Amino acid sequence: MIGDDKIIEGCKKGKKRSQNRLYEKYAPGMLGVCLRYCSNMTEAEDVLQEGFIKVFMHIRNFRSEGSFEGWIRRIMVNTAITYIKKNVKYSYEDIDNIPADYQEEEDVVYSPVSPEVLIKILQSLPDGYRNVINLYIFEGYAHKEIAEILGISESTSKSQLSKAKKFLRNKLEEKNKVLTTSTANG
Amino acid sequence: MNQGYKNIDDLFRNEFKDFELDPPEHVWENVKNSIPGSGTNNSFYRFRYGGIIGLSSILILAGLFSFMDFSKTTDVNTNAVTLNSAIEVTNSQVQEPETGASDRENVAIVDFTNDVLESSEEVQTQTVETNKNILEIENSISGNSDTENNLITKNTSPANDLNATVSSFIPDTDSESENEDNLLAMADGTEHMLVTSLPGTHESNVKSSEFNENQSDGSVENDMNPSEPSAPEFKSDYGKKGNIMLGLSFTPEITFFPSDNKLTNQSYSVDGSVIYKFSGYLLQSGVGVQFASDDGNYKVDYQKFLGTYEDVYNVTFDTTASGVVPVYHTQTVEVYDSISRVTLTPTKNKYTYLQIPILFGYGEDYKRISWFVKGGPSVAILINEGQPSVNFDSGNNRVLNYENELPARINTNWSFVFSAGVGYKLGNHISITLEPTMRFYMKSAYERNVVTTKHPYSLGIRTGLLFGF
Repeated sequence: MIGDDKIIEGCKKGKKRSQNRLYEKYAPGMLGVCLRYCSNMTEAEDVLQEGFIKVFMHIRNFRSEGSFEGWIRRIMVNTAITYIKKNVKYSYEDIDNIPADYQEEEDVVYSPVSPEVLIKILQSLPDGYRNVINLYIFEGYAHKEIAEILGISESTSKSQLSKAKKFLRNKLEEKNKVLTTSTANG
Repeated sequence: MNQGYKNIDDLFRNEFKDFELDPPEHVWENVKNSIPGSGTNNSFYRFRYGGIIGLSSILILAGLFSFMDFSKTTDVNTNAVTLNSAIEVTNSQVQEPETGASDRENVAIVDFTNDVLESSEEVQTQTVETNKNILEIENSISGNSDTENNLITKNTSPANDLNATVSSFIPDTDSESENEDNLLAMADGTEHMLVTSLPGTHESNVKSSEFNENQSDGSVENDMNPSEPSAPEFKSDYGKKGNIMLGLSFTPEITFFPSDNKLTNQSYSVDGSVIYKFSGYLLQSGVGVQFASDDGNYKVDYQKFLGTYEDVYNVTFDTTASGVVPVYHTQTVEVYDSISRVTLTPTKNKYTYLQIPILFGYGEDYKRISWFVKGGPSVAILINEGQPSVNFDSGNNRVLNYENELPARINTNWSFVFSAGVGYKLGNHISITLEPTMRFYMKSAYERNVVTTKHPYSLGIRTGLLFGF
């Protein structure tokens, strides 16, 4: 098994075989990332393609100080957000009326759900909300950072997160994936 | 098995932890086709193709040399010189032969002849073999000059001219050979073999004979061997037929970009060349390695570190004896200046090219000095690119992006090279040359749409050694 260092060095030299290895290693995981941000598979493929082109174009700037996977992931996320900003018209109408007062309830348990189902649920979210959810839950950004990245206010980020979580919970409830503790025990 | 998640965040994080999907084939195809320089960008392939082109050029030149068949003439001339030198010594030692000399003198002369013939062994083994046969005959009849002279007279072999020259000074004796006929037969056979196998030898030995005649104060007459056909007149081939030279050169070069005065770079190249010269005309090819570099900057985009704060990301409530107590879950958040800053750090990209020129020209040689002019196409293939990593200490700051501001170079570039130079002969086979060179590039060395410069040119001084054959 060839290590990341050798693959990266090969890619920096423009070696086709190394580029192919890098793609084969990271593309499946990154498609999963792209799918979370995009509303369908076609968009996700476009983002994946654009993201990998950026990876190969800028790989010579990668310094082996941090995680290479993290570096690629960040490029994919940025590409996805840029893609959505550029290509998708924001529409929050169907979620705007949801109150931003979401709070986790202690007696609630979420049943395991397959990623494919969760993807479908995520993709039913309006793009802006999906971005906030992704950045907050998966990338671990704080609201201030999310606000900077998405060009929104911090309070908007918070309220969108709250609304998005409520939206997701409603969707999970529809699929009977949310159980109260009493239901779960009983 | 997981029984469930306490909150929606954990549900999503864990379920997507190892989530992967195989992308369709066309995505990679599109990525592959969009990466600049992929495929043929591989330095191994570039080097391989360059090597093939270089090798082909050399083989073509080698084929031309073989086809011209000039090497035979050169060899013959060399032989003639060798033989003449040796024979000159022989003649000087036998200039005044005494009438009725003893057998001992004959043996001495024949022995010396042996030495002379051995000296030609380096050049023509077959000639030596022939002469050795004859000398064996001579040795066997040592003291019998009549037999020897007859033998030589009957032999029209050019190889025997040398023997004729020497034996003409051997005084007659009365002794007879017992195997004269056999010896003659052997000599005839030897002559045949020599004439058929070494056609070029005739001319050289005729020349040797003529030379000896001139050097021996008329003691040897031209019609000494009446049976010998008239010898063709010897004409020098020097400078008429082609010859081959190998060169090793070093060229410092400076490249100018007329429409962008910010870009000027220096390069150095080392090359080996093969030059075929015929009637003053030159045909040159070879392989060179050029080392070039570009000075430029990395543009570093970063955000300044301002400090940290503890962010409360969750609050839970513990029920204690004293009541419900809130528990604040915090995480340290680093704060950076929202304004991005840009700094430039110097860097130097290094490039290695394989150069293959095919040049045509004309030149003239004088006793020590020669001059020449040359011109022709040359291809440069990028075989290695060295880009140092950025030298920037970010400290606690957050680096957003690095960008090497230097434009990327193209992989293959054609140019036309013109040069005029002079050579100075250091010895018979070695010359030193000084050759101002101008190179006119077909297109910019940089990627299109990055730098608008067109048709850069370079000036250089090529210095080197030429080895002639």
